[in-house]
Amino acid sequence: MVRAIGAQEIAPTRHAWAIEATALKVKAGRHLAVDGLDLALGTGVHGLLGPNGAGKSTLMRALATVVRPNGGTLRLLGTDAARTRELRRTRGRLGYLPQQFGYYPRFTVRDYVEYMAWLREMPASAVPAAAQRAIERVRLADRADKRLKSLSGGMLRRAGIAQAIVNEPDLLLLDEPTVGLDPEQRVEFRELIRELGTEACVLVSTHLVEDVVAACSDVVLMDLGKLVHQGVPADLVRLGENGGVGDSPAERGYSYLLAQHRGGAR
Amino acid sequence: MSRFVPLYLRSRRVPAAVAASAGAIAAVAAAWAGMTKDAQVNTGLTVLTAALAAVPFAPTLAGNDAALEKTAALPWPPRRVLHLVACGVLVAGLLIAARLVGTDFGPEKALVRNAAGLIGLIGLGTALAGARHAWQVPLAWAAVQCLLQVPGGPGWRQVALWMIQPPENRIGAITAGAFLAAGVIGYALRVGPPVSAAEASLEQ
Repeated sequence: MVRAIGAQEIAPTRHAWAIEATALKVKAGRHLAVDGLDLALGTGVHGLLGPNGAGKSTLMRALATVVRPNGGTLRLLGTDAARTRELRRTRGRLGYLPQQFGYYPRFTVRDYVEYMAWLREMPASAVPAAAQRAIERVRLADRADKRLKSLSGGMLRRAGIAQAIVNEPDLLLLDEPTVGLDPEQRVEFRELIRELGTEACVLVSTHLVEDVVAACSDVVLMDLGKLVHQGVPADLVRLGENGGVGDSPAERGYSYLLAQHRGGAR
Repeated sequence: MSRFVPLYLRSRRVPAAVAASAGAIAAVAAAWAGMTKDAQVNTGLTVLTAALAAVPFAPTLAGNDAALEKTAALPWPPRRVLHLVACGVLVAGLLIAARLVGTDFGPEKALVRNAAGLIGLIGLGTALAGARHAWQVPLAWAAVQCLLQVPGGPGWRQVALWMIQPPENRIGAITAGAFLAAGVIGYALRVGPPVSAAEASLEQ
């Protein structure tokens, strides 16, 4: 089927970075979870690492326009995230998988993905094909017409990924997408995000250092709401030679960087 | 767009809410018919029935994932207003329709006033406290009015007992209108207090 191409799709990109944050401050409740973060991310797959409570999920929520920044500036696909009125178009080009997501349990996978596509204001005629494609990409085609409540944890996670990629987003935010996936699915998932990362800015928050090394072109490490390190995964491996605890070079690099940062902070 | 309206209604559990609302009215009507010969339902019971018919719609005012709904591109406020007003129309319509099966819940004017005020209170409750708790105030208030059936008196008492005032009463109508306006505006702007990331999955 031939699809009409909208003006929006061929419009030139007018922003240097998909995500551009300067001195970003975001609160989670009363706690300042993201505290003066500077970050610029473009096309590619970026892994967001950090210990529990580092502010990863809060940062993701701010990037997904769920919460408004409490300070600093945040530009998403060239639009200022503080200007709620202008965010509508940006939101249509955004995909987001929360760490825990709510859903109507009696929806089938297809219903759910189509409904989310509609919320992202996809043209109605494009929705069925886009939903089918998203479901195929996460390898749930054989379960497409099963109800969500009948799915296992890993399948549900993949349904969540399907809704996040259904609109072919320019900015894709995945908060711990590999939780509950078996090793084979994780390898498939890495392939999928590598493919998506060729055209979009994909930010994957995770605790699994090996996922980042295997699938990401860029590593962002944060702790206590601040940026600790930004570089390529090979940096982690290289830094791992300096010491740090862990079973793989990358894990040692991760813990070494955190220890360095905490030492410096004191 | 029309393809997605059924998905929206299902995800908000509207069919179940309509069934619960109609069921409440039917139960009261059946009980009344079984116990009295009078077709005209007692005013206090009318008020309570209106509340029982309105509260099932409270949970439909919030989605299954507040974060994902908030990131949606489509503008929510007009849709929320439409949803809330449609709930009010449905409650009033169901109460008036009970006449077709022989139970009279009182004059239309009073039914419309009460349905509008109750839906407004539910919308306001959703905006301030979240959809899960929005049923409490309207139901409790209606229960109090069901027991204190003394229309008239000083202005403040007419405001407090707005649902049991006669249909022509101005203060009752203004009170209901104010609740409807506050509910529609409040719900258009806000759906409950912000939900933290950890609570998101508990919303369903």
